Amino acid sequence: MLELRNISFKRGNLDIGPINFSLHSGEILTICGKNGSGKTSTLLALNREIKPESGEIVINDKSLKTLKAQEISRYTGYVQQELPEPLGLNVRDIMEINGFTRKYDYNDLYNSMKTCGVENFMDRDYSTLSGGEKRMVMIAAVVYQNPEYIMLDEPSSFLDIDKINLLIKILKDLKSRGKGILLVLHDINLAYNISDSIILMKDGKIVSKGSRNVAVNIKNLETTYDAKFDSYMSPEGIRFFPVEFGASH
Amino acid sequence: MKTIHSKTYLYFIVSILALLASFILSLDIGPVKIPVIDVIKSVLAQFGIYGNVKLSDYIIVTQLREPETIGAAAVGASLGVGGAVIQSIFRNPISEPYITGVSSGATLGAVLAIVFGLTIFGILTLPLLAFIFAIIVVGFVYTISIRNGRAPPLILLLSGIAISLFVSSFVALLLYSRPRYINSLFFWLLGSLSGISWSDDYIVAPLVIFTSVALFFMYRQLNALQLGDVYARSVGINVERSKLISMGLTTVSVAACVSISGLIGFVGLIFPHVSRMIYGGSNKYVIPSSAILGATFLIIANDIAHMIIIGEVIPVGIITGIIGVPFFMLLMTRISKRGYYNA
Repeated sequence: MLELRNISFKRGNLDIGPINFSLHSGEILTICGKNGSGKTSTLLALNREIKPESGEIVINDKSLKTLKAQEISRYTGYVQQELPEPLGLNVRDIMEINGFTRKYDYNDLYNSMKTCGVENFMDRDYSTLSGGEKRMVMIAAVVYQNPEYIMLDEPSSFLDIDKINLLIKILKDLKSRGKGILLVLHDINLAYNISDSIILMKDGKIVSKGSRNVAVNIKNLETTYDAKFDSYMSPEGIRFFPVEFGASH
Repeated sequence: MKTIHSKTYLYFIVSILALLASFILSLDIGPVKIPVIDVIKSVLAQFGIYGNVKLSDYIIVTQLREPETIGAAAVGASLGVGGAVIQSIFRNPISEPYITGVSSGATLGAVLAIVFGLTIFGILTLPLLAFIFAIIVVGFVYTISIRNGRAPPLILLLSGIAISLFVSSFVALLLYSRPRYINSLFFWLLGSLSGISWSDDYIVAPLVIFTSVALFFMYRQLNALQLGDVYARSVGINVERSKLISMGLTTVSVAACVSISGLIGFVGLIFPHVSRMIYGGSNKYVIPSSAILGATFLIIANDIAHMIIIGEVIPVGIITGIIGVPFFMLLMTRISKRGYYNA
């Protein structure tokens, strides 16, 4: 279990926290909220980029502070929102970077790439790929890293519809393999569809958290996004939409 | 299957042969004509192999020419490797090993030795002071860049540039107040390999070999740093330790080289790029290739510096720019149609 216990810190002018939540193996947990609500900052704290002023991060009953860099990478993997810009590395080099703490296994590396539909890019220069292809390579790399918990910040950005479907399939597959998945998503309906649990954040604080049907309702969405919401039933299940936005269409 | 493209092997073999050829030809160049075969025999004779060579030829090759050629190779290799490492740490293709303050620190040491006529370490006073001040300045740049126990690349880069300028201003002030020393420093600033002796090589060459091999074995960490500190940390790399060690090794190597050669530009900036154009961006290839190409290039540039005016040696730093830049531009137009350079 990956736990944040009373984590709080400052980011710019925003006081973030106290944040408490836990991510279990085989669970998809998604954080949603407006821009600047502290979603990415929370992931950065989990990835030791931001030092919490108080509180503790605990992975499988061990404090993050007591773990060595190599151990942490076997527990957690992280796909950032921004795509990196390396100096001419090819896709294979990047895959191998994510395999830093594991034994080299070509079959596993190839299969991770195949799962994400990027196996043909093995010897391509990463910088020559499109945004969506780069994103899928990043996801393939973290799949190859094979940590227990995987964090993905806005994984659907840069992806077209078929790639988003592939992403959903990959996430469900990882979940069935017992991986705990922590997502940050803007699309509340995508989040609702694929997540077991959801956290809504506003101004650095948690508005609601819990299983998706508990955490997400019209009232909580309106508090989180400062907008009027409504919902309807679709063949895929319940869909939420901001009323002002819906009315204008 | 983990495969290395056969072309990669071929390029490495060709570049190693080019290095050996430039090394031998460099020993052949000089006022006294010695057949190439006798040059090779003289080199081998040092290792007790194939000993029948004229004593005068042997002395000219091994005592007069070889120290400078080995010095050129060591300095070229060190700058090439240093460039590859610094560009990876800073994720910045236009950075080079001098950017952290090595060059300005070494210049300050050299100027202090020249202007105040210091002789505390005998004839080694100038190189030793250059080395010490280079290390001090880089150490200072690194220390003031630390934020919450970390040295972010951008802060490190800006601190390096700012402190270099600060130190250079003191150098300028010292020279302004004592203009008669400008001439001697001028040659140091242009970079020169003439006068490098075996005693320099015995210290610098093993240092360059050791640091380059150590940095080569850090290629995975350096590749990961190209993707950003957060990324590198997430895959299990101790980012701060990797940066400190790789910058430390680079600084010691480059500072030692600068202390015997003065400032030689271009090599540290360009050969990592040439290597990336040939092999792609992985430091597994870029580090050894930058070493080989940097060494080869500086040996050739030094030969040209010897040949332009008979009986006189032009500072090699002038040559590196004059022949290096057109060569690089030509290469860019030919190879840059691929990958990173065309993205």
